[in-house]
Amino acid sequence: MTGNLLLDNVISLAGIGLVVAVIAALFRGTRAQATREAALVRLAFDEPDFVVAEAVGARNAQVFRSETGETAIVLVVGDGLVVRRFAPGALRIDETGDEIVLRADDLPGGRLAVRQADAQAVRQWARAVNDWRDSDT
Amino acid sequence: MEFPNVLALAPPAFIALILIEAVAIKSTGRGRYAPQDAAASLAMGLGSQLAPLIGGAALVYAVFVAVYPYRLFDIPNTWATVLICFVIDDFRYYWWHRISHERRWFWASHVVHHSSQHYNLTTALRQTWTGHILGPLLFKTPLVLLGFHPAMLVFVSALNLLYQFWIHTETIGRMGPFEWVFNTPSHHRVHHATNPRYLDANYAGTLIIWDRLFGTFVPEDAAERPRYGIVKQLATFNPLKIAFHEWIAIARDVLSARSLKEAWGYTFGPPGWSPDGSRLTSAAIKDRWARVKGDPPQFGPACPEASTISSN
Repeated sequence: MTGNLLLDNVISLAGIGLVVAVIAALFRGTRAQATREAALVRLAFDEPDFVVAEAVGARNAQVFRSETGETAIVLVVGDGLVVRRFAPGALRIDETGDEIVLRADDLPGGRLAVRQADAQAVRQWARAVNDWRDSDT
Repeated sequence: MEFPNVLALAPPAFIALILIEAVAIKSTGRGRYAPQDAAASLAMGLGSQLAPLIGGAALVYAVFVAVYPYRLFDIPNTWATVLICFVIDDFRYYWWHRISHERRWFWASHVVHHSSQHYNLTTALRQTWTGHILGPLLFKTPLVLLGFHPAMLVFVSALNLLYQFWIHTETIGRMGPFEWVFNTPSHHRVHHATNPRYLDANYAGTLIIWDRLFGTFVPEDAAERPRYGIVKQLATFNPLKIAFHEWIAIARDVLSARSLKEAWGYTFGPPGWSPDGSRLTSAAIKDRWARVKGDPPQFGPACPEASTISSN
């Protein structure tokens, strides 16, 4: 633009700032919901051969188990949904307070905290997931 | 003949067009924007302008200048030869782009451009920070050896990139006979789609004729709306992860390889290649889709609702 690399990048940064500010103002609050229905649609698109046998869900993710013991997690990333599929036994599961933490290298940051509405739901959820894991091993 | 640095002049126009598109999407609903995604794309775009400066653009140009004396023909710098150079370079772009999708080494750079689940003008700027040396050397040096001046080559490549900016939008529908020859938003939406029937199609830069000639053209089907991104969507807006995730994945795979053949396959095989076929290449994804095509989502005997422990 000006021939001065530093100045050009300052101008570009200002332009980026302006664009992001306008887009944020116009499209703020656009965040996906990991509803069961939306997650199933996404799963059917990304992993059409995944036959869902069981499902549990929370606000930030839906977790599905197939008849063959695989697990598919559909999680919210920004305003989109992302699917991760795991072989039987590939997920590590920890129960911490009102959260279930799923751990695998393929998850963002290596972990996903699935938050449930209440403690009872968490216990049920943990029991179910651990039942799955135990049946895999 | 002087060749202007058209890319250096472009950013103000890019910004203005993005703002116009954002307003148009807000008013018509044709398309999507999300602040995090747009910010990531723009950060990638800024980085892609800086990366060649430290990543070898000068080296590549120096190689072009060094081999230019060994050219086959003396091609003068005229507007007619610029036009010829543009068409030949567009042919070069088709093959570079196609290989960038078909070989993982090149895909590791190019995947950045496809890593957004959105398709708007900011996606056009979501560009790689790597791959600025080998690709240009392999695919552009032959044009220099043919006799096109390096400066002319840089100019027409920049024009090609500029052309491709405006086609990254959902706000423009079909364009009639223009689509017979030129790459358009409709054609390029197909290229960015992850729908199995749209995978590995429409590699064109400016002229769609190359796809029509080499059998990779797929028209947009109004009945199947493109879903954008990559077949395994990224779960991040972190520019560093966007830039390097596939390179890191290659490194991990190569380190785990049990033979040189496996290491070669992980590096230069098609994206999704694995020794035991446990991962999915584009061809495998198309095959899988063909097996379940037209069927509704598959549920087992214990359907989700029946076995739900808790839900929203």
